[in-house]
Amino acid sequence: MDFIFSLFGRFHPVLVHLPIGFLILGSILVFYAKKEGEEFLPAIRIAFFWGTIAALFSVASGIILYLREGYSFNTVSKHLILGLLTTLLSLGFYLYLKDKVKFIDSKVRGMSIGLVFILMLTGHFGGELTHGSEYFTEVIPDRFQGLLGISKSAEVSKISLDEQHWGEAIFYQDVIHPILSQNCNSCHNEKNRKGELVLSSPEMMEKGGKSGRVLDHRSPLESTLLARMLLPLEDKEHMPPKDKRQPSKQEVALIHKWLESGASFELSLAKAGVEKEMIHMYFPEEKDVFFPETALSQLSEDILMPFRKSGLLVAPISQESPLLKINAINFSANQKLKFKDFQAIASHIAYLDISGTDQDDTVWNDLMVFENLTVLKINRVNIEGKGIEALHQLKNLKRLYLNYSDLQLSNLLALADHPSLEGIFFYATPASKDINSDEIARFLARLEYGGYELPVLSSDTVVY
Amino acid sequence: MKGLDKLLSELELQQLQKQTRRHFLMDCVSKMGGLALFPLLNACQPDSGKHSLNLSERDLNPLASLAPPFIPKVKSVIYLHMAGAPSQLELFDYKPELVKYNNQPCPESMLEGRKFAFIRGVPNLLGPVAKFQQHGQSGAWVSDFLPHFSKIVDEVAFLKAVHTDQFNHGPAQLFMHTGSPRLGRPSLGSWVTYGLGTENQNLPGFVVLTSGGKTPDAGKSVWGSGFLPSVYQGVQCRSKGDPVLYLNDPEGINRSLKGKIINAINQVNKEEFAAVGDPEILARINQYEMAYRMQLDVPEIMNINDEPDYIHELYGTLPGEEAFANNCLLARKLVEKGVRFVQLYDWGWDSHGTEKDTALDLGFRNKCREIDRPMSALILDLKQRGLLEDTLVVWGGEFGRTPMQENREGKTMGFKGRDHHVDAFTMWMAGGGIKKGTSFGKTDDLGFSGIEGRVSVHDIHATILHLLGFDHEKFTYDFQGRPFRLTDVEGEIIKEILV
Repeated sequence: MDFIFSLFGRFHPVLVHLPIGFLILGSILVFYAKKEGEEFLPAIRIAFFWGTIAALFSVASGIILYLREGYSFNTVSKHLILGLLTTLLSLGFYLYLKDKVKFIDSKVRGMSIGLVFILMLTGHFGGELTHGSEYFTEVIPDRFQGLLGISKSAEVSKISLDEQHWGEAIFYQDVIHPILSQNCNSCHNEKNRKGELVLSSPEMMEKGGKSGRVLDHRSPLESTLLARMLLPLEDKEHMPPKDKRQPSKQEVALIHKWLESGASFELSLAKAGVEKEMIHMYFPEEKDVFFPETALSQLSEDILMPFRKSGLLVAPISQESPLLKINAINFSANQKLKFKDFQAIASHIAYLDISGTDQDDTVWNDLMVFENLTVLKINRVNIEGKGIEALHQLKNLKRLYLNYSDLQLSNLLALADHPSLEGIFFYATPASKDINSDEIARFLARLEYGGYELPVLSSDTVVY
Repeated sequence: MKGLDKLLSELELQQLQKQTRRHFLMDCVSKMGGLALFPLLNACQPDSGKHSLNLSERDLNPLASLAPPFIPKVKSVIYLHMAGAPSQLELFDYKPELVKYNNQPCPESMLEGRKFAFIRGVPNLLGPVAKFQQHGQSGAWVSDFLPHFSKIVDEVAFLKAVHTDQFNHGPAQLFMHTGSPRLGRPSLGSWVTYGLGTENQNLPGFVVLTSGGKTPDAGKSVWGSGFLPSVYQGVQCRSKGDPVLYLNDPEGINRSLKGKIINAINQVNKEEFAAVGDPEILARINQYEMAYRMQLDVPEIMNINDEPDYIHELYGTLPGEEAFANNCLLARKLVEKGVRFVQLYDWGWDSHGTEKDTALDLGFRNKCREIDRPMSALILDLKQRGLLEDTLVVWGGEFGRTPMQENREGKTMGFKGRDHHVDAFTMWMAGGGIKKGTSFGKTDDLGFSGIEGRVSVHDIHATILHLLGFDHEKFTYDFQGRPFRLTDVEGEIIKEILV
């Protein structure tokens, strides 16, 4: 029958509204009555009598709730003390009204105001317990919050590790603690101690909760901390509870690893034997920086339309990107392409394929304004590469294609120290025939000029 | 409580009995009327007629090149499919343990709850028929059945533990190419051309080439467009004779006359469009023009005779014949010309060991020779032209083969062969965005199941779409009232083989 008490305790949030109602009703009547009048006095006495009775029930249920639901005294102290105070004052006020008061005067009115004020305060701190202390402030826009001097509570720390020095990070402090605060702390913190368990600090974790210790140092993998997470989701004992946020597989794996390594609060990741794959999600996301990042905005269709009409393929390199890919693939052979027209959009062009168009070596100078050009394909053109050093102006150029051109080795050498070029492709050109290993070694970029062979093997002709 | 339940079910029964067929029909009439009213009311909105005339380039030209949602690593795909499923245990998945257990009965624990296409009872294990060696800087194991390929292993990334759930050729091929073992879904190439269009407007966006004497068991659905508009289906080009049938002008009609005919038809169509305003007419005009252009370009690009001799030697082509080597060379030419998706099928890999042609040490070895040089040449040729930077090459079968020797109908077979196997097989990828010289996934000591880095068919699709600049979870097509994805509700990008 013990559950009756728990049940009664849980009625606390309902019961508290009775004294609130009675005491406020009584106070209203105090002001409703004419000064020096006595016509409402019996009603006022009844209101404060029942208000006191209801307050006693509220206090009783509240104390049971506090004792049985794992609240710490620090959390509930204000509410508890004020609640008791309200009850006592209400009792005193009722006794005073009953014996001493013959008519309503300012003294009575003052006392009732005081009582209601303390009542409200009690209610406020009670609400803070159920709704959280940020219940009011969080809806206030940030700029007003600043004016009011409310600083946002620190966000749950996000795990981020350095790809080079991750091994030196402390397993507990840098990984396990944040995982626990994200998944467990809402119920197991200093304020809210469900099952008398607090997981927010090493000391409290060692202490364990109502059903014993959560860390078992003799056989760490049997620790309740992990066992409860590994129970099937449907199990009543599963933690976190079914309807709460669940830790990811990787997070559970890391907790497993931490326990396996002895559940130490000082061990580093490397010493605990954590492998890089287990924590790769905490490394800063690598950004794809093949194409330059720019502050340009996407060009409007009106500007691009004339280029499309001329037969060029013009499209952003991706749907959101301001950078353009331009391809002359649908041009008829040796069609002339005028670079003067490109001035307006030159800095938007990141990928330019003008293979097979009618070009001469003046092209290099025309290209100097294409500041974001990253891939340049000029295959199948009759150019020797005179003036190709102008490409040094293009700080983002990474790939240069000159297959089937008349590229001369002497001209190509000018690009040997181009800082951003990653690959130069000049298959089937005079340069590809002349180049030797000494010259190749001078280039910072990878050179690709073909000439691959698959030597004939005796097995090529064997039929089994 | 029992009484209450009874009462409730009685009530339900009574209510249902009152609902007659006439009620149903009456409901239908009134509610259908309501449904019909909705578009009627909608039509009254002042701007409702406009959007049908707000034509995008896509409406006029369904193959117009589109920007992908994200910056892509590659712009084209060459998919080499070995129809019939080659044995990973004779090519890439070296299992020294299997040598020891050669001809020993397979442990029954491995067979429990398993179904095989032909194996019955307890089969014997079959050691690798080929000899293995490590190659390249990456130290990849490749058998002596692929001597040329073993020289380029540092260019590719192996997936050693691919698995599927279909052990018959047709459904497995459909699964591998459409993401579903049942008919009706668009193929990978169709999804890609639907999403990206194609760059060269004089060539199809999705070309299919077959070799090996037969087309895949699953039929043309493996390059079909499913529920996507049929313009996105693969265009099968024949390796012998006219690449596309009926493309040449009939006798007595020269090209200029053909041009005049098309102009005249388009003129009529334009007048019709002016009168009716149906965008379908514009699309038709565009397609006539495209067909006219393709008449010139397709025969030209499908002709490999213009290639220099050393290229023919590199690939080991067989001009005038239907050969995988010719198709590999064509694949490079097509990608060079801006074709989006080239799908090669090579038939004849179903090495059950029922006869000489399907014996692992005979017919299978011949098949290996037929693809070894061409596919290695394809990688090198793409590399030397810088095309490997923005092309993805995928190689694989529809499933793998068992570590056990096949015992069809419980009998010992005359030749060495293996049955269909879904649990683990090898595929490889090469090209833009792929981490060169890697191997991901591991099978157990007998090569039966993947024990590390298992990847599914959906994962492979997700990875291919990722490299082309798609988020496979967002790339959908609305059909039958719901959005469809190539990867259905699955698929994870195989990050381990990406740069």
